[in-house]
Amino acid sequence: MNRIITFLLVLLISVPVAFSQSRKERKALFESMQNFEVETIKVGTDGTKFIKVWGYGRKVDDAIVQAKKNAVYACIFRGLPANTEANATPPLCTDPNGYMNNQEYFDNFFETAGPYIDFVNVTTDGVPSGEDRLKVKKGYKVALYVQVMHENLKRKLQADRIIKSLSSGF
Amino acid sequence: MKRILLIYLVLAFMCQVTVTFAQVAAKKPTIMVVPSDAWCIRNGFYSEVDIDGVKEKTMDYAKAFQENSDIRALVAKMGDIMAANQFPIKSLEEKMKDLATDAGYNALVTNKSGESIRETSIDMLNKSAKPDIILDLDFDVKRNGPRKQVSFNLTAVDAYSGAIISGNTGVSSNSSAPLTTLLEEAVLSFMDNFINGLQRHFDDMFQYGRIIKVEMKIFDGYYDDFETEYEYNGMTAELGDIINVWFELNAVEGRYSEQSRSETQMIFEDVRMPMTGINPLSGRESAMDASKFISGLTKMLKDNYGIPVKRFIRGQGKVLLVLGEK
Repeated sequence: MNRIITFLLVLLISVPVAFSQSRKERKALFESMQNFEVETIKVGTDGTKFIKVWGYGRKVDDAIVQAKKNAVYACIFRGLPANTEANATPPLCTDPNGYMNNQEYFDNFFETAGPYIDFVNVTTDGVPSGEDRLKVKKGYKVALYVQVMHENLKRKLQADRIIKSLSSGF
Repeated sequence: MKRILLIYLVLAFMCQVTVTFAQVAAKKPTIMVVPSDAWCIRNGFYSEVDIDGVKEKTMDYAKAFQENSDIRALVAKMGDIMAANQFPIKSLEEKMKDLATDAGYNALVTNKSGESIRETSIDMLNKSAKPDIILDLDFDVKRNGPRKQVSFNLTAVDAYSGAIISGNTGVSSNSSAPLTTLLEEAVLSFMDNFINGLQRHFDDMFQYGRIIKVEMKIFDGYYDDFETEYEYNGMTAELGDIINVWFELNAVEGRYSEQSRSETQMIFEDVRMPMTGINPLSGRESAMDASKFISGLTKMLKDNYGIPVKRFIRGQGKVLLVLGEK
């Protein structure tokens, strides 16, 4: 009898702990820089990628800034998905620990208005509206149509020795 | 005076350090875009040759480049992107023109006694366009009323091993835009993926070595063969086994595959040759190619067993060794 009571007590304590962990994980995931959506719109002009990217923020302006960072982050670390008209674009940095191995460089690169801003062109003026601007629990989720200067970004990372060029070693 | 001597010594030391630590660059593979056989046949750029009653199709690349502006536009765009990646591709069209000009020029070259250039049939064969990596390009334009759509297939193939390095297929948007725009869009769509595939191949090469193929044969009339027994480290072993040990010791991480062996022929595939190594003649580290790599084997056969070997080199990755005579 005592054993059954002990077992039920352990179960009673462990269930909320397990659930609170998943809540924590969900919060971390929501706040994580990698948690964003990106889609390829069509093949960009030479050396560029035309994408739609989402960003989160307490204010709309914060969400716009985050969306621009996300656009560059996606090109470097995640790659861009394919659609019916365009092939997928692989990430520029193929090392899965690319950010960790160059933490200081990328922390500085992605500072607000940091070097990343040179590689994003916003294709629409003004604040996103309609379905591209959603009010969420703690702020806003906005979508931007941006042109990423993909080739210039690649050259910059190669020049800073973060990624290799095709001809390195030859 | 002492100061001058000191400066001289410091400079000499710096030069020495630079030479010692300078990284030797590996040999750059040549890349060439070649229209696929399927595209050539679809567009009528081929001729049929009757060989022993069997009709064989031979692709007419010169005619394709002269008469089809689409293939030229595609190759030009790909060449532009590859050049931007510091990896210019060789033009098949220009190479063919060059071969024709060289043939005409060499035929006219004579010395004062009227003697012409000595050329063997192997020399003539070696002149043909031999890229290390072939970009096999196929594309098709589908028309839906006023709209057009380009479907493409680009495969990079290692010319020596036949291994597919990178392959990409896809379609352009369905649009009434000019065909040149759609072709350019198709190239822009697949090139990033394609270059990524090439990068993976090069990374693999630098880690495990370049893949080469080595064929060994025996001249007719030579008294020995690959089953002849010799002494090796105090044991008796067949020549074929001794050659195998050489590859085991000299291929990167012992990676190679003996594809076939008979008493008169041995074929080694997927032999991983290091990208750089010591040149036995100069004693300095230099970029490795199949010729330098295999010279170690020919030297061993000559020095240890008195077997003369003739080498035939095809590009950076294919070697034919014929035992018995130079």
